[in-house]
Amino acid sequence: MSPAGYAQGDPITEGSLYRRIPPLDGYYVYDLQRPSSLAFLPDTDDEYVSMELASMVRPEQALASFAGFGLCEIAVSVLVDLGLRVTYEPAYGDGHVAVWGLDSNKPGIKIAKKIAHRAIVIQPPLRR
Amino acid sequence: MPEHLRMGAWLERLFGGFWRQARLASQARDDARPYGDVIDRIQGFRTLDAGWNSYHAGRIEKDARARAIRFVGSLPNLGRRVPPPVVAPTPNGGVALHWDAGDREVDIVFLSRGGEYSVALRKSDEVLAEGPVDRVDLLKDVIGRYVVQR
Repeated sequence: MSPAGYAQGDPITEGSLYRRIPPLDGYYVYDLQRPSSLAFLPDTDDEYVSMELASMVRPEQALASFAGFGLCEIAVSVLVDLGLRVTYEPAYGDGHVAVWGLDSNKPGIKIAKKIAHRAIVIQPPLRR
Repeated sequence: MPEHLRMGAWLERLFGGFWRQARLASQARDDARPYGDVIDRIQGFRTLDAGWNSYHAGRIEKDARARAIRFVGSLPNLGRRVPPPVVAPTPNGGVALHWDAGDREVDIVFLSRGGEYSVALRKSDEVLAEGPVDRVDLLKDVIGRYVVQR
């Protein structure tokens, strides 16, 4: 059970999540000040996108050890409205959640774009 | 013909061809250079270790890099100048090519097998066109329609 009362696999239906943005070309749209869709594609062979619960992780914690990375915040309700599902998965840290509905082996740009346009930027990545 | 004009014509005969050749060679280098840099960057993705996105991104797959490089290498065949794309590794082991074209953006993601393209408005999440990348001629049509400098 997490400090917030979640057990592994519990659905998350409220609050907001953090997602780091790599300091790489193509991951941040500087003139429009938003992440690109690439920041929300799932990792190799994953069927979810990793994020952190904002209620359990402070922005500076989310960025610790990741110099130059940016950070954005997404409301869980936005993801649910897009047909995605969020569950608590602490295998990668107390605040870790999985956003389900994207699959690394299936097309995902369209929905990743929708997330990117709805994300709130906490800190842009370092421009290279 | 006055002496100075005769001298000018003689110099033109002597050096004009050389100058034109040098200018053409320089133009060819300029034409190739943007894609050369793009290809170098794609090749450089092989050095990214797993987890490069701070999560669990895999290494960028050799076949994905090769497919992206082949496509970039075919851009000069479009006949019109295509600006060099922004290239990026993708968390699922692929290579993304991105162009901003006015109020639109074009993305192509090459995976080791398959991939996808999309054309969308930059200031909204409206997707104008999308599909798989299994047909290079279709991708070239997309580039020709949305990206080429007219």
